[in-house]
Parts: sequence; structure tokens; C-alpha cells
Amino acid sequence: MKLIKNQNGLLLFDFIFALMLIMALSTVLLAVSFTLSVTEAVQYIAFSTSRAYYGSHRTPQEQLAAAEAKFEVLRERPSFRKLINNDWFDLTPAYGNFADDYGVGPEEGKNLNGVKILMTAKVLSFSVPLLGKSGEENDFQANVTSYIGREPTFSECRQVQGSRGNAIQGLQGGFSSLPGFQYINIGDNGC
Amino acid sequence: MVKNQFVAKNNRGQITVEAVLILVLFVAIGTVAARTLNDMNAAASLVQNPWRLLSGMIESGVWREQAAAAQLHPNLKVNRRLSLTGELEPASGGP
Repeated sequence: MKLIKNQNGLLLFDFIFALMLIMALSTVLLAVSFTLSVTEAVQYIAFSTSRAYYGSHRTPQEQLAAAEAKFEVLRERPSFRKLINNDWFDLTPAYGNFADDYGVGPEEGKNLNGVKILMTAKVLSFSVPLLGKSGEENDFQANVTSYIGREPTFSECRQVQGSRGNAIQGLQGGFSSLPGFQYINIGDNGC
Repeated sequence: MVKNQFVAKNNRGQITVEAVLILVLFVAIGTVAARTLNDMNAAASLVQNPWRLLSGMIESGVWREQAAAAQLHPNLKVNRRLSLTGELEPASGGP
């Protein structure tokens, strides 16, 4: 009887199955690790943008413009551009006070001024053999936040000081009755 | 005594048949395993479930799902500036 002495291919199917499983698991681990690394970078972008938003300016609109400009500058930097500006991640920034998003009133939400970046990790939405589909793109979203506040602007301070001056003028004090009395707003940087 | 005329004296090919049977067995096991993994949404379990907690940690520094973690965001509590408190219980006041 002639026996088959070469059994090299006997476990080929097992090998293929194991290889596919390992590659699928490796893909999952790599995608999650990469997403967490990019999250760290986005946290830096959020903080830096929030710093730009924090600083005082002439008007709140100009504060907003400064923050938007900072975000765009950072996003377009070569080091970030390759990470973020591709089909793997999507960043949507928002600026202002986010008390409504947390379901709190103005008093509790006074520390929620800053920047919130909605990060969509599209890289985590994939389909691998054997393990199936991981989910839709919208399943992998997270808010990267930096709420460090916002300084009052020149125009806001002028408005407050103007109201204050009117209130002072409305007082029944001796100064108001002086001839030629005029309230002059002297502010350092508005406040 | 009846003479058995159908005894197979040539055994060549038997190992081939067995190899085919083993291969069929492997294919069957592999197919069932693959189908089971697909039905279990294994990839979704591996990625989506951890992501629910990760999104809470990324936003609020707390290992909870996003909505629950948002209620423990450090900026909501004046006296809370670290995420350690959030891992225990919501801060109910300050020192």
C-alpha cells in the first residue's frame, strides 16, 4: 500500500482561519490605539483653541473669529493635517457657553465657556472578515472639550460701565446735582 | 462456506477519502465559527462597547457612558478640579 507521507498541507485551512482571525483582531487593536492617539492630539487642539477664545478682544465676535482662526491654523499644520484631514476622522468645533448641552442653568453653567470639538472616529467603522462590521460612523463620536472660560470684551465692559454710569447718575446724590456734572467712563482695556 | 468475492484487496485511496472527510470537517467547523462570530457582532462588541465608556472619559474624565459622564464634568462642580471624584460618586459639595 502506498501511504501519503507528505502531510504539509493538512493544517492549511486551520492556518488560514487563524491568520484571518489574528489579522482581524490586530486591525481592531490598531484602529482603537490610533484613535486614542489622535484623541490626544485633538485635546491639544481644543485646549489651544480655547486659549485663543479665552483672551479678551474688542467684541465677542472677534473672540470667536480668533478661536476659529486658531482652530484652522492648527488643523492645517502638517503634523495634524495628515492625522486629521483624511477620511479617518472628522472634527466639528463649536464655541461659546454649553450650559444647555449639560442641562444646567446659567449659574451652574458659568464654567462651561470654551470650545467643544465633536470628533467622529470614522476609522473605527470597519468590516473585517469573520468578526463582521464594527458599526456606523456616527456610533463613534466623542466630544473633546476645553472649558477654560472667556474674558469680557471691550464692548461688553463698555456696556456694563455705561449702565453703571447711568445708575450712578440716577442716584439722588449731591454729585448729580452739581452744574456741569458728566459721567466719564475711564476703563483700562474696557473694564 | 461462502466465498466472499467483494473483499477490497487494494487499499489505495483510503487515506485520500479520509483526508477529504477531515477537510470537510474543518470547513464545516470554520464556517460555523465564522457564522457564529458574525451573528454575535463580535467586531461591534469589541469596539462599540468600550467606545461608550471611552467617549465619557474623553469628554468628562469619567469611566461612564457619555450622558452619565457629562453630569460629572469637572466644570459643573466648582469644588471639583480633578476627575478622581467622578470615579467614586458625584461631588455633592465642597470641602
